[in-house]
Amino acid sequence: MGKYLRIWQRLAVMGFKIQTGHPLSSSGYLLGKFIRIVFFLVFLVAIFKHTQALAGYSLEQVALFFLTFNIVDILAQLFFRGIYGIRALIREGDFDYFLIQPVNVLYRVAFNTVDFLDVVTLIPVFVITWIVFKRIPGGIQPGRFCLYILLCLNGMIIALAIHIAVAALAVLTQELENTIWIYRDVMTLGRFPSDIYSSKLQYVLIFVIPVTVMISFPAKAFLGRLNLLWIFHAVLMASLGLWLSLYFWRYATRKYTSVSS
Amino acid sequence: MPATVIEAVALSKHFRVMQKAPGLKGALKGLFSRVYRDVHAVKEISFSIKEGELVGFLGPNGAGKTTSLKMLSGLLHPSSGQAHVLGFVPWHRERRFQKQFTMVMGQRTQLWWDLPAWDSFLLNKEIFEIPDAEFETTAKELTRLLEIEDLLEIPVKKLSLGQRMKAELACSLLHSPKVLLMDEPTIGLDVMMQQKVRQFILAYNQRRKATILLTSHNMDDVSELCSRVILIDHGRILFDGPLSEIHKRYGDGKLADVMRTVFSEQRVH
Amino acid sequence: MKKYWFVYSLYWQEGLSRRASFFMERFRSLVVLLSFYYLWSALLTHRTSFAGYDRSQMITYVLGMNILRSLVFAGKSDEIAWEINRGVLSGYLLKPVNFMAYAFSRDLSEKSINLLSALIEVCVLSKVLGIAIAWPHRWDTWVWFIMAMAGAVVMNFLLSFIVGCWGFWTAESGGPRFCLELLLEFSAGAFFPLSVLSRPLQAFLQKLPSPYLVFFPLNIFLEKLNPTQITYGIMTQFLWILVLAGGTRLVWMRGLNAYAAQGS
Repeated sequence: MGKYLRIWQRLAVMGFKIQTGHPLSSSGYLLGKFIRIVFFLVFLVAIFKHTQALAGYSLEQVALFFLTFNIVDILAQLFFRGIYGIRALIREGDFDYFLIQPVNVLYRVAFNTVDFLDVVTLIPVFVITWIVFKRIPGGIQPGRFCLYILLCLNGMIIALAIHIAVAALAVLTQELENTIWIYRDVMTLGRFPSDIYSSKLQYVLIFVIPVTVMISFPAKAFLGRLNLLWIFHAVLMASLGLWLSLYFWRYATRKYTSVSS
Repeated sequence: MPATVIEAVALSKHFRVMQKAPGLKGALKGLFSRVYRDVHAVKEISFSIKEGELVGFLGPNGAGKTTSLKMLSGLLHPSSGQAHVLGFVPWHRERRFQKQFTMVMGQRTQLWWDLPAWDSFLLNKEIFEIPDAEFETTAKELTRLLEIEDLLEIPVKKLSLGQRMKAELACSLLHSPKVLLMDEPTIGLDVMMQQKVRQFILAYNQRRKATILLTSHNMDDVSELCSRVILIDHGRILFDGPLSEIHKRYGDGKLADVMRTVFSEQRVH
Repeated sequence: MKKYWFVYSLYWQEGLSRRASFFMERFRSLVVLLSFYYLWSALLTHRTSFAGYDRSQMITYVLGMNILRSLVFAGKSDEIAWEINRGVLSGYLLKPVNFMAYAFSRDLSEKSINLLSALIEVCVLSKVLGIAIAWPHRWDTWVWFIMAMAGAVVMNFLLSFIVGCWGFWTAESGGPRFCLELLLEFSAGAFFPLSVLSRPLQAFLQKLPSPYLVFFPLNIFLEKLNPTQITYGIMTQFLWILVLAGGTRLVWMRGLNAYAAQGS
C-alpha cells in the first residue's frame, strides 16, 4: 500500500536528518564499517599468499562467502534495524503510541530507525562482489546467479523471522534484550565457508541458528555446489520460520501490558 | 439527542504482579519460588459519555484512572466487562477506530526528540492518511491556537516542557479525532501553562464538539474544564455526575478539601 | 590508596550485577575464538606450519588472543567520553580524587573480571576441543610474558584515555572512536598473528604501538623471540608508555581548560 511506502519514506528522511545532525559520529561509523570489510579482505588476501585453498575453496570463492555475509547482514540491518531499539521504545512509552495508531506495529518498530549509512556501505560491497563473481572460474551463469539472488532473499526472510522473534521476546519478557546480539555474533561465523566447522557445529548452523542457510547456501549455489534438497530445506525454513515468528509476535502483543505509570 | 460515544459496562482489570523480596536472600529465593500478588486496578466500572461531553476522571494515585483510559484506547484488554468507543471495541484495535481518536499522555511525547516538531507532524500526516489540504488547514489552526507557530522548526529537545506539551497536543490533533483521551495533560506544567492548555482543551471541545475524557489529580483542571466528574478510587466509581452535585452531596468549600474528604471516607470503609 | 581499592571492588560487584551485558561480551569473544580456531584448523590440515607457526602454536595464539583481548581491550574508557560529554566529570573533579587513578582502578576491575572469564573459557574449550596448548619451556618466559602483558595493559589504558578525552571537544566522538578501535585491534594482531601479512605491511605496523598490545606478548609466550628481541620489545613498550603518558597529560590539561571554559 502506498501509505506504508510513504511512511517508510518519512521515517527514512527523519533518520537521515538525525544522522546528518551528527556528521562526525555518522561518518566515523560509516568509515568503521567500511574499514572492517577492507581489513577482512586484506586478511584473506594475506592468507592466500601462504596457501592455495581453504577447505577446498580458492581466494575468490572464500571472498564470495564473506561478501555474501555482508550483503545479507547489511540488508537485514537496513530493513530491520528498528528492532534493536525495541526495548527503549517500550521503556520510553513509544511502543504504546504505536499500539494505538493505525499502522502495523511491527512495521513501525522495524523501520523506526532507518540507517542510510547501510545503503552507502552496500554499494562498494556490491561492486566488489561483482568483481569477485567475474573472477571465479566458470564466470556468471544465469541460472546460478538467479539462485544466488533467490537464496540471499531467502536468507533475509530468515533474518526477518529471527528479528521478529526477538522483538516478540522483548515485548513479552521486558527483560531480555541481548538475544539479538547473540544472533549477530553467531552470524559472524558465516564469514567463512561452513565447511571449515566441525560436523556438530555445522548441524547447529543449519538447523538451530541457520547461519549456513542464510549465507553459505547462496554462495554454494553460485558455485554449483548446492543440491536441490538443501534448496528446499532453505525455503521451508524461511516459510516456517516466518510463520512461527509472526504467530509469536501476535501472541506477545496480546500479552503485553503496558508499562504502568 | 447526542449519541453515546463512550460506553463502559462492568469493566474490570486485574494484574498479577510478582512479589520481589528485598536483599540478596530475597533475590536468590526469587529464583526458585515466585510469589504473585493480584492487583485489582479497576473493579467493574460502568459509565456512558455522550458526544461533546468533557468529562473528568478524578482520583488519587493508583485509583485506576490510567488503567481505565488505557482500556478505552485499546492498549489494554480488560479482565472482564465490555466497552465501546464510537461503536468499536477498543482492544480490537481496528484501523478505522484508531483514526478517530487520540490519546495524550502527560509527560510523554510522540514527538521525535532530535528533530523539529514539524517533522513529527508530517509523520503523523502519513500515519493517519490526512489529505494535504486538510493537513495544512488543521496544522495552521492548531499551531495558531496554541501559539507555537515559531517553534515548529526548533528541535523538540530544545523546547521547554510547556512548549513541548503544546506541540504534543497539536501533533495529537492533526487528524481531527472525535474522541480525546487525556491522561494527566497538565502534569508538570507551571500555572500559566496549565491555564493555556486548559483554555485550549475547552476551545477544542466547543469548536469541534469532540468528546473529551481526561484524568487528573489537579483540582483546577477539573473545576475549570469538566461539567461532569467521575470520581474513582481503588478501582471503583464513587461518584458520577455534574460538578455541582459534588458540593451538594459532600458539602461546600474548596474542591480540594471536599475531595480529600470523599476519598478518605472511602478508605475508612 | 585505599579509596582506589574500594573503587576497584565496587566495580567488580557492579560488573557482576550487569550480568546480561557481561555474558554477551564473553559470548562474543567465544564466537570469535571458535571461528578462528576452525579457520586455522582448516588451513593447517594439510600442512605443518603457516606463516612460521605450527598447529599447536597457532591454536595457542588463538586462545591467547582471547585472553589478551579481555585484558588489553576491555575497559571502561568509552565511559570517560560519555562522562565528559554529560558533565558528570565535574563530580569527580570536585572530589579529592585523581581522576586518572580512579579511571585506571575502574579499568582494572573490568579487566580482571574479563580475564577471569577468559581463562575459564580457554580452559573449558581446550578440554572440549582437545587442544594441545604450546606451553613455554622456560620459566623466564613467564616473567617476560607477564611484564609484556603489564606493559600492554598500561599502554592500552593510556591510549583509550587519550581517545576518551576527545569528549572534551566533541559530543560525537563515538564514530571516530569506533574506527580507531577497529584499527587498533587489527594492527595489534588481536585477530591473527601479524606474520601472516606481507613484509612491507608488517614493517609499517611495527612502527605503531599496537603490535605491542597482543602480538608481542603472545610471541614471547610462544617463545618465538630471542632475548635480544624481547629486550628490544619491552624497551619499546616502555618508550611508548612514556610517549603516551606525556600525550595523556597534554590532552588532559588542554581538555580541562576547554571543559572549564564551557562551564560544562
